[in-house]
Amino acid sequence: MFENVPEYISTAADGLWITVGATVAGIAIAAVLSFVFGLAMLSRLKTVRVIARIYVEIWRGTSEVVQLYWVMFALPILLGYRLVPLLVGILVLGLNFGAYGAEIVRGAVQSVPRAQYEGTIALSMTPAQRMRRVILPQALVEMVPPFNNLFIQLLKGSALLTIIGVSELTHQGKEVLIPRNVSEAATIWTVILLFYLLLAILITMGMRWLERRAAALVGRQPTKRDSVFARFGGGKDPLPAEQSKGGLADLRRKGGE
Amino acid sequence: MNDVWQWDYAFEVLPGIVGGGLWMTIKVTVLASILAYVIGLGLALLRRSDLRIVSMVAWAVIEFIRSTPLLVQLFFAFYVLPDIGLLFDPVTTGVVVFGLHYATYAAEVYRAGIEAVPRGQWEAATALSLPRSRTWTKVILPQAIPRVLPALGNYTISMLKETPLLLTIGVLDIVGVAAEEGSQAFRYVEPITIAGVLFLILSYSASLLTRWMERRVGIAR
Amino acid sequence: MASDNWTRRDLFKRGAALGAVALGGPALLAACSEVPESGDGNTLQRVQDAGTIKVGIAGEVPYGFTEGDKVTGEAPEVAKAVFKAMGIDNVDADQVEFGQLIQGLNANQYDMVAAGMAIIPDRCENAAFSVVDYVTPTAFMVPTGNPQQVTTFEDVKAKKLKVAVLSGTIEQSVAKATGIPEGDIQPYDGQAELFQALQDGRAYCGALTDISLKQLKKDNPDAQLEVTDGFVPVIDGEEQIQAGGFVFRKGDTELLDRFNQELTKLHDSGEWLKIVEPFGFTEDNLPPDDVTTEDLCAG
Repeated sequence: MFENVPEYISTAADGLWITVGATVAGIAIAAVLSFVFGLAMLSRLKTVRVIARIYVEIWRGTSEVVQLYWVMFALPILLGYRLVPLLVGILVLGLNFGAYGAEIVRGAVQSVPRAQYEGTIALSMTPAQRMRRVILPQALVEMVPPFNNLFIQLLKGSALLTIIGVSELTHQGKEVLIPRNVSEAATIWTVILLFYLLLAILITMGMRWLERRAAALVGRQPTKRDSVFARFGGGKDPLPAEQSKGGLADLRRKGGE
Repeated sequence: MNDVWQWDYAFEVLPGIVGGGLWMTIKVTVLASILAYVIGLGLALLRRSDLRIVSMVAWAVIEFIRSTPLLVQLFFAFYVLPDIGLLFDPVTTGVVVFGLHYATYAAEVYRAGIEAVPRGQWEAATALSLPRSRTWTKVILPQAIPRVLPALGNYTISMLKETPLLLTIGVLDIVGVAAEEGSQAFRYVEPITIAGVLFLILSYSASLLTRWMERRVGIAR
Repeated sequence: MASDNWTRRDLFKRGAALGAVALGGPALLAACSEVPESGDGNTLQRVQDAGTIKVGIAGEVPYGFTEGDKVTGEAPEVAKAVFKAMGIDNVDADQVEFGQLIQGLNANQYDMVAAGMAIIPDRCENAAFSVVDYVTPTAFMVPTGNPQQVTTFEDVKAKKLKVAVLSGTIEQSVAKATGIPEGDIQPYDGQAELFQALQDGRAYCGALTDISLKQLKKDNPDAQLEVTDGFVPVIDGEEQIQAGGFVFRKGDTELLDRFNQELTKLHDSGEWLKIVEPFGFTEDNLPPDDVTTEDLCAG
């Protein structure tokens, strides 16, 4: 039963790099969109707020599968453009999770205590200075744990790329390994699940590092967590920050209970 | 591919998507949510067990399921469960997998909710020498559960948006029916757009419901 | 530690750099994969200039599938031989679900479908088929001994059995047209899922081309399943001869004509048989002269 495991691992690994690439690129796009639209939702200009809100609601409110199908098959007909499947996948991951991330950014910025704003006004900082020097650095610390969860969701979401034929990790199992080894499905899927677990752990380690950095920069002690797994704020938050991944949850209460 | 958007065709596929797919989406979401909320509570209690081994196992299970893709878990269940004598029909397989996956999220929600119950409540229960089971059922959970309902509701909305994954094991939800119609007529634009709009309506109304719950809970506190 | 001197400013600067890469990277790539509006006849010129063509496959053994990194199967191998004769040496493939093949073609994801797709009127309305590449009967995969004695779709209907099909295939259409209730037709999107469903007894039988099913059985000799004799399915009294071909966008007539010329040569010279034999095809699968794409498209 296990003699084929090395073969399964090497075949799955062919897809691993595509999963890693799609996830990293997806995270990069999502992170940028999160900040752009998260801050746009706090803009004083109504038009900007409305545009950001529309983006967030559309990309959060429809399903990732719908988005993949749409960008893959409908968009090229409407625009006369085509994107290779991998690119379709990366774009959808970025746009979809960017919408969730925008809510995280907005919530974190709003959770910065009011007195901090007042302080910046007293120091007659420009709005840009306030944001860059005082508000964002503090908000950043608040953002890291929910972003950790979001990025793991994104990693998991990358498995859906198999539906549009991207030969990532899940695809290697479904289309390459399983058809020729149906009787060993349990072993094959276990190998693939473990690969995902490994990647999730790596993301968490990276984010823990980022959290320590971000906390140190504003002179705070990072929250103690016993392991790389412990993604939740050790009882600090009344509810897990992960509610950001669901619907129109309002993060404003986060940290301010 | 003559016209970019054909209204005739859109109206032709609409009844099928709403009648068959929408119903399946709602059915799976509701059943799996119930399962997730129940199992999630169980996992949360196991996680708090005084026996370290029990809480460690619960923790490991939760982290493993949460860190790996639902789609792969679905395949795992579809291929592997029958080998160990558990032959569910595809809909049941879907409900079980979705339920278990989201139970791990629900467990964390419950855990946070339980931890948010003030220490004084525990101490008071001890002072009244209430048995442990009554402390849970009469003191802690009645305070914890209402607070976590909105967060649980948000996971139901997430689940709703993941029902399209079921098409890979032959269960046709909104997107399943839309893709099916699309592959019969070789046009995806209309069915997939309709599917997207339906999801938008569904998740938006569900989120209004969650917000309403949040307000209610806020007042009740 | 040097990194301890990482200032807040650095953090934002690096963040901005990362952002630029994130936004700029895809834009660059997107530009590369833009194609001139195809289907207007210039595809032949484009692929000949590039010396490479991208085809769509569905991962169906033995028609078109991936083996390791290599794309192979009856249709891709025949296509490679045809394109070689046309001076196009490189054939790349995108694998999508069977039911997505024509949509992907029309969305310009690739320039041809090489998946042994059956020629049927609905499909002809949305795409252009090559000359007939092969013919094959339909068959059922059933439990060993075929306890319910199923050999046709009418049997499935009469005995109220469940039938597994692949989404978007001719077998699915025939099952519907025969009047088998929607709930008894299980559409799967891959052969492996269909096979697993049969092994688990989720459906009594699975309908697919004779060639695919025999291949599945060959790959899984231990399965308690067998393949019934091939038959020609009938809808409304009309025989539905399963004849497969390559699929192009409507409007790519030049490409289609050149392709047809070379494909016919392969058929006539006997070269075709040599290419397809490793995939379980025989002389019986050579298209008879009276089976033509025009007739099949007319229904």
